[in-house]
Amino acid sequence: MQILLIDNYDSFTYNLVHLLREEGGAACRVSILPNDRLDGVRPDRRFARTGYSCRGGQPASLCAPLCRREAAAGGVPRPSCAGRSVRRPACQCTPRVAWCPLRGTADGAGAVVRRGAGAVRCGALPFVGRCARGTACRTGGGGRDGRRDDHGSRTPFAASLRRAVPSRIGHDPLRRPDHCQLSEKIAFHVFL
Amino acid sequence: MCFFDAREVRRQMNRAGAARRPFLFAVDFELHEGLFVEHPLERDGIGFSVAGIGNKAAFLAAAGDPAVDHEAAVEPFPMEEAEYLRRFDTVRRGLLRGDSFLANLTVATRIETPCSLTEIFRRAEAPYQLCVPDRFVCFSPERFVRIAGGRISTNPMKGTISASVPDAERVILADPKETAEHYTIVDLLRNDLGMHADRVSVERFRYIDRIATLRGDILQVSSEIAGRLPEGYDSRLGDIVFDMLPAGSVSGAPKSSTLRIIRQAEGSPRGYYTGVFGYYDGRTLDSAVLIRFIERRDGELWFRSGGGITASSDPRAEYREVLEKIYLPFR
Repeated sequence: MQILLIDNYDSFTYNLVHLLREEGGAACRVSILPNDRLDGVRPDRRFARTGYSCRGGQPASLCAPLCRREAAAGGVPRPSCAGRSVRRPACQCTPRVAWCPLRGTADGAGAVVRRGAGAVRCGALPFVGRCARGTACRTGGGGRDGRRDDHGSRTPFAASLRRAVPSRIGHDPLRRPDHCQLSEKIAFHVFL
Repeated sequence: MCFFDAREVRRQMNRAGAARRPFLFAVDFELHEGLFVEHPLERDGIGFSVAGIGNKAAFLAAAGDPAVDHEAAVEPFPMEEAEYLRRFDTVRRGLLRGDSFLANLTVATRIETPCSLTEIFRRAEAPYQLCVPDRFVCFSPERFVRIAGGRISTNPMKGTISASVPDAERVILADPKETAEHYTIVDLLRNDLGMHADRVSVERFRYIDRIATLRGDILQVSSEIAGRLPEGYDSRLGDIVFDMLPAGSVSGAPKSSTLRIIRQAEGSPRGYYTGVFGYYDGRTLDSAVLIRFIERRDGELWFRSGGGITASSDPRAEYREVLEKIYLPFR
């Protein structure tokens, strides 16, 4: 399976790359492309899945042309841009599940909301950390209080604060093994 | 001549690594300038010691160090708290905008001490030491990366507390702000190692080192993350190191947007402070982050120190922390 992962300069892209490679097996090939080099994708190049970490604002806009092109080629469901999955995204494909790290939260971590098609809802996974309620997602982060998204809509949601949890901690008694790779697992569900 | 454009240092590291020729390198935080010396154990213009290996005696002899020990005293003249708070506020606004999870804010503090740079270098008790005459001395406790036998490892350091605090180890490990910072840095370094390595894993998580200082011992919290490099990595030593720069523990995450915030808040380049340096002996490369750093500027000595800022940081506590890090690494 060919997966295109767009690097939105969030500094955690390679953690996802390795998880995809490990869990996808030998048949899973991940190509990484920085969000400012999307013009470099050959027009005839096709990917089974396209994913990107959502930093909102400009990165989401940068991703949109490629997203539209992929949709026109086959309409493969894919994650939506941050702040766009409340409605159908510009590419008119239906996102199954997407994720959006809300940056700038209080403790050096990001909040994660899971988004289904046409709805924003709290992730069902056992997030580490506190849960906070908001009224909408602000593209580009801004915290857990909830802000307007790209479209100005105000959709109720609950976001859980994600702590950045290292994977494969080994035998450290301070951490429970089931916390491992939590953040990557969420993103993983987006792609496969 | 050993100072080069940083890109040239990268190329020279690749070339020397491919030929298994020993070298010493350093690069500044902004990736503008670096130094590169082949066969550094046979040279004495720049003093270094990396995990006990170096040219300290030859360098001190060449530098004319009189081997006289002055009083190990240091008097700081700190930046006004109001100025620090103004810089802190610039960082905090970046955090609240969502442009950063964690940003490392540093300051320069003028100090007076009877000890010269070379005397500090001679007496320093630290695993990683570098002295560039009339420019700076560094006595770093923090490894950047070690590459040996196809294994690459890094030991980011986040979290400092005075050992005199009652139950200090438990206090630092339970501190939620320090904990969140540490998690973020570990995830960031996993990412950075993953650019070139496979099977990246956290092998030690939040272990404690005790460091002796003039004002008593301090405890430092670190983690060890490691991965495997592909065949032929020796000819890409420069690429591997440079792709991970600037070091995550002294910049923040996400790196690109956090660096913009740092530039705005600090207002001037850091230079070699918070850059990295290291030594390759033909088989193993070991390197350190250039922290615990004293530089000479216009005839004055400046101690550089900093700390990680998150949205929940207490600005006055951060101000105290950067001042507490001012010490000479000997008794």
